[in-house]
Amino acid sequence: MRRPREQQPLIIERPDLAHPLRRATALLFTLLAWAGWVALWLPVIGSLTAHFGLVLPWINYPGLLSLNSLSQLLDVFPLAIGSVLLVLAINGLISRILRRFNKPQAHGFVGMDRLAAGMALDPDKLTTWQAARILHVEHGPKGRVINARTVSKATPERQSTSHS
Amino acid sequence: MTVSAITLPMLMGDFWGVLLSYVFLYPVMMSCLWMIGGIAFYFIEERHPHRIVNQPPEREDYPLVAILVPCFNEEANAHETIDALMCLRYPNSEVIAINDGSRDRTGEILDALTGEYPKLRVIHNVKNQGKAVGLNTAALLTHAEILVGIDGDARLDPWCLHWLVRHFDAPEVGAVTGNPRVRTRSTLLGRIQVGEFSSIVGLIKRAQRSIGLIFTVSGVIAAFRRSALFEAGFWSPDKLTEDVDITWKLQLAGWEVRFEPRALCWILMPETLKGLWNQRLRWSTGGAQVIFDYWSEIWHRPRMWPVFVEYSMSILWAFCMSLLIFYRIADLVIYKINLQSAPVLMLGWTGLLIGTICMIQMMLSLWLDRPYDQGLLKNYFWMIWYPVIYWLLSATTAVAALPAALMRTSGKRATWISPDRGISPGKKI
Repeated sequence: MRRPREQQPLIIERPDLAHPLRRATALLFTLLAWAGWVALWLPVIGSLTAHFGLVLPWINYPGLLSLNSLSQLLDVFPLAIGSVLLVLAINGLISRILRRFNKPQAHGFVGMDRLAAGMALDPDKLTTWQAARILHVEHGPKGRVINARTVSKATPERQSTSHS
Repeated sequence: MTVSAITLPMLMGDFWGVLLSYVFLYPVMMSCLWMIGGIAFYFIEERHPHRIVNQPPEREDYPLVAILVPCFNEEANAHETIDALMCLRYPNSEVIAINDGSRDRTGEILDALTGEYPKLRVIHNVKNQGKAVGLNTAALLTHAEILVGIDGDARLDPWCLHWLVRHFDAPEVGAVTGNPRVRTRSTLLGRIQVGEFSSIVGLIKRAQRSIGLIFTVSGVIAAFRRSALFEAGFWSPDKLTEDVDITWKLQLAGWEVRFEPRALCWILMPETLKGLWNQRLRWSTGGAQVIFDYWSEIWHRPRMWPVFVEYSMSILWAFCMSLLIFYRIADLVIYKINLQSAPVLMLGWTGLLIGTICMIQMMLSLWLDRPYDQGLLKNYFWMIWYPVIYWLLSATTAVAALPAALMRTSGKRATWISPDRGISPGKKI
């Protein structure tokens, strides 16, 4: 009976294998990025508190403390979301109409003869190759199969070859 | 007037304002589009029949499926990939491994595995031909009508084929792409990509499917109808991204391409900056190459315009963003004075809004993918980098890729070496 091979875990999560400096840098920069992210929110908090009469002097972002400029930017979103919904709706409608009037075509199954003819190969040879377990294939300059050599799977010591 | 006094806003007049608005509005618009599209896909497609991966609906018949595994120098991963394929629960499948002229022991390992697994067949390409030729060869040498392409270092979920095959009951479906999940999560780069594959790959595909199109299947896990491939002319050997190419060829030929989030495929991703850069540059160049090559056909197919417009806008945004970053750096480093470039950094309300939307998008996408990837939400801590890394990487690779795609010799065979596959026991980076 075949002995199962040792497999790697599906998820390879081994930070311990990375260089310690690389690990520390990644963690440090990620924490800094989150800190920067939180800092970007401070003007929002400062603006909101100022709106309700509470001025936080330690939040000082000149030029950002206006909720008007934020609301102007937020005006973009109804336009963006509206455009997206419009595109989806129009596309859905067109697809539905097209499906109603154009039934999907039943594309023809490609049989052996057609496949061999399309690839400029002899159907009998192709049939033989399709049944082989191990094949050595030669290609032309444009990557087309031009010949193949079948190898009958036998014991590793006694392999027989046959040319097709 | 001295040179330093001539500023970009002065030179560009009103267009400067338009440029700044576009740089701000594009990510906001796209984020809204992806989130709304993702939610629409969830309600219309994903909830039915359910989201339990290991309980796919029973079928009356199980058509033969061939799993094509192109391998180039995969001696480190071949065993694991093939072993996982032999654990699939789908009752009627064969596995075709393509040893694409490997210079290591890949061929030897695959040959030995045929002795263990009767379902395994091996094709040895005498010379390295590239992934597209490998797939074309295997597609020719099987009886199966449904082909599933995966990478030589991928691990397929046992129920993956059940979820993919059901889509081919609809005669108009030419391809279905699965849901790649990142395995390598040891470093910051690896963890960011975990979020990226939910937020960008998963959410964008959901959104694109909600308008009936897909920009690209994932090359690492996609199923195809062979008749559709035949009609579209199979994979193109000269394309750097054969997955983008075949997606456009199929859709231009009138076939439908779908996304199946329950068809899971576990993948190794690079965890070095160099590996990530090389991979993304190839993706960008390949995408641009396909769009240039099929430009005239796309023009005559209005159905394809939404994805084409989305792609064109992203390229335009990349160039605008790069121009503004360059201008801001020049302003700070060369002139050391304020040339009115401060808005370029997009801090303040604008930066806060873009960042907030990106973080909401990230949370939504992790929530959508949560049933398929246990413990996904704990990676949110590292996702703070997503807005910076993703948008900057997209902008720089897009700018670098465009001239590369334009200057690439037509018909030149596309071959490449896979980047690093991240940290694993015995393989530190």
